[in-house]
Amino acid sequence: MAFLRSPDPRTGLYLRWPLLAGVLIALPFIGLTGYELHLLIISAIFVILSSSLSLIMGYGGLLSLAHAAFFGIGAYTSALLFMNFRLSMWVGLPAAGIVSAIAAICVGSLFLKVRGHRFVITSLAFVEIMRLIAVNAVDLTRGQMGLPGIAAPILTIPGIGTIDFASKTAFYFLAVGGAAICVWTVARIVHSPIGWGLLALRENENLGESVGVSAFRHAMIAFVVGAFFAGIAGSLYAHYTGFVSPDLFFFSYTVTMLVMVVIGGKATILGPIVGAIAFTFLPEYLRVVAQYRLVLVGVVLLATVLAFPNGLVELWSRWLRPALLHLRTLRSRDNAA
Amino acid sequence: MLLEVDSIFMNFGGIAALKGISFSVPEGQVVSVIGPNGAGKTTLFNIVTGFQKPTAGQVRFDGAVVTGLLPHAIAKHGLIRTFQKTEVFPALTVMECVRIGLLNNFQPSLFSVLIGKAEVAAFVKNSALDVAYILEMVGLQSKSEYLAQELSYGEQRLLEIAVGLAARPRLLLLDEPSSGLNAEESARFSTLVRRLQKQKITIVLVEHNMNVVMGVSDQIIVVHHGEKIAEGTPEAVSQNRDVIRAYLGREWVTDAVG
Amino acid sequence: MLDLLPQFVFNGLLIGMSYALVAIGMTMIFGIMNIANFAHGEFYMLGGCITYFIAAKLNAPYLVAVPVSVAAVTVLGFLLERTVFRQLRLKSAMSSVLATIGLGLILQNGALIFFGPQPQAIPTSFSAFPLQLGPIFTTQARLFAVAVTAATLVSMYVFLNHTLYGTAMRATFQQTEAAALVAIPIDRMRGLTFALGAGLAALGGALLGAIFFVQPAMGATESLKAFIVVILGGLGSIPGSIVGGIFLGVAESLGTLVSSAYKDAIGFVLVIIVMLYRPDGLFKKS
Repeated sequence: MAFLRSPDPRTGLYLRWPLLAGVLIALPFIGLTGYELHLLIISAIFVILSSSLSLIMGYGGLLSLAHAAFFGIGAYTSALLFMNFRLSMWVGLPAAGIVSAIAAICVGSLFLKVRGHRFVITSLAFVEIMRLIAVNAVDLTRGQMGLPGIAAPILTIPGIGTIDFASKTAFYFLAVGGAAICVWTVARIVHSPIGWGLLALRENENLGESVGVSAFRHAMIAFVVGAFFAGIAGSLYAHYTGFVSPDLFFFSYTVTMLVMVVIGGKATILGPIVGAIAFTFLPEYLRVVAQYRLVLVGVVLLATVLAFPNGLVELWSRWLRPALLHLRTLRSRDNAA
Repeated sequence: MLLEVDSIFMNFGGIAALKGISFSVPEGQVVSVIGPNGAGKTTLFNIVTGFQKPTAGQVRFDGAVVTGLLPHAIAKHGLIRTFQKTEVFPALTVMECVRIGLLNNFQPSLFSVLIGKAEVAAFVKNSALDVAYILEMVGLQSKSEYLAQELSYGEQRLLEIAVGLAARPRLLLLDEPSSGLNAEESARFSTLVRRLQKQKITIVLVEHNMNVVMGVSDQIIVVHHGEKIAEGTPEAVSQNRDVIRAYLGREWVTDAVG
Repeated sequence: MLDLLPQFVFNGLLIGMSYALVAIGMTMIFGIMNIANFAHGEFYMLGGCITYFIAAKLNAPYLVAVPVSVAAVTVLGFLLERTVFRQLRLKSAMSSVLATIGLGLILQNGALIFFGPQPQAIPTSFSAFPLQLGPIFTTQARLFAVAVTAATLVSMYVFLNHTLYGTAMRATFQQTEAAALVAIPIDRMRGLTFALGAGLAALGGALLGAIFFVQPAMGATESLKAFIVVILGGLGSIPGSIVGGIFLGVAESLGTLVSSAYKDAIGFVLVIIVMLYRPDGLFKKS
């Protein structure tokens, strides 16, 4: 029953990084269609969202429905900086992350004092308020009409030339780079003493408190780091799709992020990555219309909770770990003999 | 005095659970708090460790006022508790559980984790040894890879104590530690308590098992209806009239004291 | 503007009573199963949509469509409790929330696929002619809704407090273990309580659907509003749900005097405030 444990970073994974990096770098050049590249970019952006959400949900044990709020806040921050001040994504991206993080600090210091259902409902109320503001503060956000024409940035390297990130290939590297940084950060935190504290928060808050683990501090760290990356994802999304609207605060975005975290495995590093890719590609390849996609999301959520609560990645490691232990005992028996 | 409980009052909406309890615990001793059920002992523990705020009164640890602090802040002073109903981290392995106790001594900032400060890595590396040592002390070394929820009840109790020990307590508050343990496990537990005392850990117990209480305590405090009715060595307390009356009823007093 | 006050209060009362109907079911489910049912608003939506279907597509009279759709949703609720919710009792709080979110998605989008996204009006035999009662303008449909809801709430009160069955039900969701000890069949109670809650929500949808439009998307907002009411009134308290529902309805209605765009936000802000400072609800019963 090795569920809820991340794959050991010492063995295997280190050997896989160069291979994985090589594959990722080569991917845009092997003759994919523009559409497939587009899906990869969207997947990468959703990897940022699901990975950061898993820090809050899977390790911290907090079901936050407000993640889309920080996604939207980041998107609007970046878009507004562009529209009003002609600031490129190079300013907008870090600004989006910082503004979302600050919003999370403000909101979190209130909301993270409660747990369980109360926290869930409060987080939902928050994202709904954000949606209402986005729709109604027309002077700022142009309401339902949204903010169009958000251009992708360009990068001029003296001596080499200019990269225009409006090209899908270029933006692909940007998105994947962002995803890599997010996953690396989450993994770093999870495998550190702060990660242990998060698990304490999830598994038994009172016991953790009794040995010096501040539940509030750890919840805040997860919440704010998560919001930071959600904001970054928002900025990337804004400059890639070129358009920002209150739809980003819709529940459909929230549940998409949820299902990506849950199906992959909410307390693993790999799980949200698998979930994000699966739930970006699958609905497209099944050629499903929006409503059917959401029915699928609902079915998967329900089925996952009832049948395999720890996601696909755990299902795999549930066969792997007993096998490894079995091999270990066999090997030690051989050594002893 | 390491722990000073000073006139603690606790009212729950009209009911006075604790009515001005005061006592002191000198460093290095084993003190047991006993009393009939419902006497307010666990409430007292909750107040001392920050899980509840008293209506009035003060708690001082090593001279510092700790009343009203959050539990984790009190724990950082070295005041560690266990719970009446055994608490563990269910989905974590025994090793991972105990490791969390170590956080009482070292918690890196987010920044130092992200930049990979050497002291963080060193802490993580040494944690394995620290955990192994503690597991051996409580006798769970063979179970370090088991999930906490897979352990038996008695083993979970030991695990809970192990987690508390990892926090390097100066004073350990054990809330009914031997409940649910059989005679052999209780005896092993008493040995553990004496061993901890040798390591200069002050221990305060809430207990019902009189064998354990009489066997390990340097001092006993008797609480009844939210008040302290007796205090002293095991011999003195066992002969105290008020204590006998509280536990056994009025009829027994003349017979016992004679 | 102040002379419009009674009108707004009356409108708010109407909406508030529908909130109460949905919230009662939600609070009972919470009391009996300790599950926050994010799909509960979908019962309200189905009540409205099925009533529309029967009245508009099958050309049945409105007064027949309402009980039929309520009955249908009640049965659906019972079946869902037997199949899905029974299993959720063993799961963690996070898991059950995720599961009910999933269920809500299935119901909502299933309805979208079946009924289409267009808001529809339920045809009734009520005259659209406005009636005047003192300072208040209203229609037959609204009066009907208020009357039926009031009658239902009163019947609920009588049922829960003065009948054997109702008392047993109330015992089960207030003190489940104690109820089991006195040999109340808990499993059956759970199914019936859940079904009753679903039916009440459906009634709300069927009644309000004749006044406003029905559309598959309306369940989601209703769920959130019902959560707010449940929290305002205190988890597991039926009187709290009734008072809380009316309170929210009237507050929102009066709020439109200030700003109609942010009307929904009133509830959200309220719930955040209550959640943080009075987590047991505004109307604490001692």
